[in-house]
Amino acid sequence: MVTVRHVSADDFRVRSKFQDPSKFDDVIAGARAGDPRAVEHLFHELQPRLLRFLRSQESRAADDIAAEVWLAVASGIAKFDGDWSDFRAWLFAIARRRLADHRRTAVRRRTDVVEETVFEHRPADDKPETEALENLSAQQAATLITSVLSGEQAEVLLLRVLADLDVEQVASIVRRPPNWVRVTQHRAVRTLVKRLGPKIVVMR
Amino acid sequence: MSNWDDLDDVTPRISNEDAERMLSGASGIDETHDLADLNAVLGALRGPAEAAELTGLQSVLVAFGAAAVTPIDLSTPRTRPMMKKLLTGKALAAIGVITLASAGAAAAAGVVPTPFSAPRPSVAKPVDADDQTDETVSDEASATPTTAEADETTEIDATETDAAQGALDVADSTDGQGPDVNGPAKFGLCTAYAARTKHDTTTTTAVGGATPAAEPVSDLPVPFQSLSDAADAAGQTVADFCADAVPGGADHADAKAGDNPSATAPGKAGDNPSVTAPGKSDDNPSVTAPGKSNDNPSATAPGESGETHGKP
Repeated sequence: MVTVRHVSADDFRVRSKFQDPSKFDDVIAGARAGDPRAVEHLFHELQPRLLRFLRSQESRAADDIAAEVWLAVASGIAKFDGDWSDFRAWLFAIARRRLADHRRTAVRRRTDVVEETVFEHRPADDKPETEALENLSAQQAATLITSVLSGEQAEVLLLRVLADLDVEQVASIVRRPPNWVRVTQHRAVRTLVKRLGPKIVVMR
Repeated sequence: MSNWDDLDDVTPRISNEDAERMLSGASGIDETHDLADLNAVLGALRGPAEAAELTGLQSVLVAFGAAAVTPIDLSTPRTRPMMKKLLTGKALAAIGVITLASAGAAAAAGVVPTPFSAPRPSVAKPVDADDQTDETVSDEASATPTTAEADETTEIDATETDAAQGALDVADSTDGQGPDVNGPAKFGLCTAYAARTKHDTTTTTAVGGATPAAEPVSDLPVPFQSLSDAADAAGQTVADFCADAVPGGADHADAKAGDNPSATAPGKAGDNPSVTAPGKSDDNPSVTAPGKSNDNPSATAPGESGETHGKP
């Protein structure tokens, strides 16, 4: 018997006051002027998701890269022109470039091994899945996804979910056709289902 | 991982649309759906902020504050030489204004000079270095004659000084010939001559030096020689010859000394652009804006963002 908590549609959105375009415009104008409240608002909206993305890719350098990303945003925000969705795409595009720069500098592909604790806390097949999954922290979830999926699949899935970007935006960031993104995310989801839910996978 | 790549045995079958719906968060999954595990992971991914994820705000605030104050410095390095060029342009503009104003002083005497064509044979002559050394017992040693003149404001009023300088500029412009002492420059020349005479008299009283009268005529600056010659030709002393001198010559007999704005303009026009304007543009933002960023920490924003991420 699988018991699953009720999940509403709201849980799957980046629930933000910035869904109101005028509110976002005000915050961007404030951030351009250096208004601490506006900057703090943006920071609280995006820093957690940015760190989850970066820590799942480069856990040791994540905080430094995040600082670089915000510095780049600060210096470029005067020229930014777009809505809340564009802003997220811009910030994560910067993050991805900084990540690539870091990896080039360090001459390494995937530096940090997946934390074993993620697997240690995986439920045994005879336990209800909800026992572990409901207690999963956001960072554990991100790290789990990175460990289970290929690099491209994990990146696409994390950009879709953490940055709340659509297929076209992700395609633009990873410089691939939208169809490639659709195929990749489909395989990512199916791989996750197979890995995460042994009871819902028919083992032949 | 290779065995996971074979996804044909994954049930339930997940279509492209299903994957898209889950990743976009367009809809939730009901309680009995078999994809609940995946949704639990995705839900955790979108979970509310934790304290450890909100570090580094201060440096971000500083970065935004600095960018708001000096957006140029944080852009491309190429813009910095551009700013230097602009500032150099300002300095050149200030020099240009001074030059034009000097020309204006000469124009007040009725002759438009050609400022860069003639040498300056006699500018320092009226107040030469020896005179300065003798007279400035209490004054600061000054390198330029014009500054020495300015220091003597208790003896020579400003109008006289400016007019004298204007007359000397006229003298510079005529390539050693001196201006026409019977023309419009007469007033300026006379004023300068009177100032020189007065100055030398004062100096003589103070330190016992030679008077201008004892000075050989050939040692006089060319304009003063011309003036002296003209007075001799008229059978008058220089003082008498100058008695009927009026600003701008006989054609401007009704003109007043106050109509000579160009005589005082150089000081104003020269000072303002070069001293005050760069100070304004460079100093003010850097002083006020960082204070602004530090003085207004938000007490409400964390609460607001807490609402944003409040619901798990």
